[in-house]
Order: sequence, then structure tokens, then C-alpha cells
Amino acid sequence: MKGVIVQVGDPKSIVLFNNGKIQAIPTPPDCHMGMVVTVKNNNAIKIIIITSIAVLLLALGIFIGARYWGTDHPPVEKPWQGGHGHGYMMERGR
Amino acid sequence: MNLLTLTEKVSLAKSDKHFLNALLLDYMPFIKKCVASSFFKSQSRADNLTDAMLAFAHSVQTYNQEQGAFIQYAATVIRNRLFDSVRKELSARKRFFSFSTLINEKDTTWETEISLQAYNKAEEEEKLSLEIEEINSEFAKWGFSWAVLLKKCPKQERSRRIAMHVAETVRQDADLLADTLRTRQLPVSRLAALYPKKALENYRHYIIALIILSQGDYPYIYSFLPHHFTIEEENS
Repeated sequence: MKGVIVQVGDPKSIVLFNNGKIQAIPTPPDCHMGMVVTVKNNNAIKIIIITSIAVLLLALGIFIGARYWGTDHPPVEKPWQGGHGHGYMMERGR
Repeated sequence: MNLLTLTEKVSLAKSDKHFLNALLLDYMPFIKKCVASSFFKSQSRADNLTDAMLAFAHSVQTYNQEQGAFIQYAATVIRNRLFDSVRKELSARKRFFSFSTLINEKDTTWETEISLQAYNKAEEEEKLSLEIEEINSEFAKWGFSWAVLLKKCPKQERSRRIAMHVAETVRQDADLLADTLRTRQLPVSRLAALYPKKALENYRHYIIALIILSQGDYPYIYSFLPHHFTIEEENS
């Protein structure tokens, strides 16, 4: 992003950027009015944050997976409760 | 101005800022075409356009008829300027490579000479500085400064686009423009039918600054205002 320094100040100078933004940036060395500056967006912080979020989500996914599906749950056997099932009809027939 | 030949326009633009700005506006499609033809993926198109506009303004200042047709001369200056900026960026990244494969060997010497002659960074910055001083006194007449604009400048790209559309609407309408310049106030009530009143109120100073900067008195600073590419220009 290119811009031109429109007001020199200490510690920050005002820059008119070619995307229409007017921003204050730390005053570069040998700064003067009319100086053309190029500012590169620093994506390092963005990358670190996105990577951290991705890692956290992955870890959460693994944890949930291991907690609910990873362990072996044997089928629960319940005692016969009676009622109108096959056994009842057979008993009645006898 | 339309009756004049291009060479006459160029010689007039050397001494008259309005002519220079008009020439910049008239030849914007040509400048954008130059940018599109020598666009590198590592570069931002907006940065290239700013460079190309500054190079065009310089080519107007340095052109003389003995150098052949102006268009060819301007195209060479713009192309060399864009190559220079790519070279600078690549050397900054320690990944410099030669452009000898991209440029015709025969033209290299001639083009480099033109490039050096045309591109004088100090001179360009001096012109920018003079324009900024004029802008500062103009802003003072309207009752604001860059410090105010810093606070009032829209943060979102969408809001800036709205502000630019408003400024363009005022600039295109002679009555609105005359009223704005006479009263030194944005005609909010008349514009409220077209744009959200809140945006007009909030970005009033920024819109006025855009109107002042794009009026034609500051051709060098004008290169730093956003000029969007159309879809066709993007694809060309």
C-alpha cells in the first residue's frame, strides 16, 4: 500500500494512502512532507491467531471424539420387566 | 481543449496544473492499460496505478518533441517506472532477478536513459510537498486539517466507497459543486435523497477533502486517490 506523508509529527506522521485511508504511522527516518512511503501489511499476527484457533479446534475435536466415541461401551443388559411380550402369551396358553 | 493536438496539450500541461490533471483524466484508460500489461502478481494493482500516474505526470514534464510521439514516450516511462518498483521490491526481498528476458535488448539502453531522465524522486517529492502546502491552506479555509481528517476518515472500505461516490456526485453536478464551493459546506439536505444522511454527516470533512483533491488543482496528490479498475480492465 503506497501513500504520501501529508503531515510530519513525532512520534507519528499522517499519511494519505492510495486506498483512500488517512492513517497515522510511526514517523520513518528522514521523514519529510511529500515523502512517498510503502506500507506492507504484517500478516504474521493474523497467521498466528488463525493457526492457534485451528489447533485449538482440532484438539477440542479430538478430545470430544475420544470422550464419546473412542471408548468401548458394552451394551447394557436389562432384566426382564414382564408385560405383554412373547413370554406372557406362552404362559397364558399353558 | 479537444481542438488542440496531443503535443500542444502536453506543452500546455507542463505549466498548467489543470491541463495536467485533465490530461491525466483523459488518458486514464491508457495508463490503466499500461499497468495491466506490465502487472506482476507480487505487486498491488493500486500501487502500480499510483506509480503509473506519477510517471505519466513526469513524462509530461520531461517530454520534448524530438523524442518522438508522446504516447510511446509516456508508455516507456510508465513501463520502466513499474519495472523499477518491482526491482526495488525484489531486491528488498533479496530475490533480485534480471529482466533481460522481459525487455528487448535493443531497446534497453534507450529506455533506461529515458527512465533516468524522467524519474527524479526528489523532484517528484518536492512537487508533492508544494501541493500539500497548497492543500493545507485550502483545508484551513474550510475549517479543518489533516488531523481532523485522520479522526473523521471512514475505517471501513465500504464507507470510503460511499464517501467517494458522494464526492463524485457533487463533482459531476455543476450546481451542487458551485453551491458547495460558494458556501463551503456540503449540501447534505440535497444529497440526503441519494445517500444515507448519517454517512453524509459523519464523513462530511472526508467528502469535502475528496472534492477539493479531485478538482484538478493537485495532479500529483490526485495519483494517491483511489481509482478503481473496472472488471474488463482487471481481466485485460
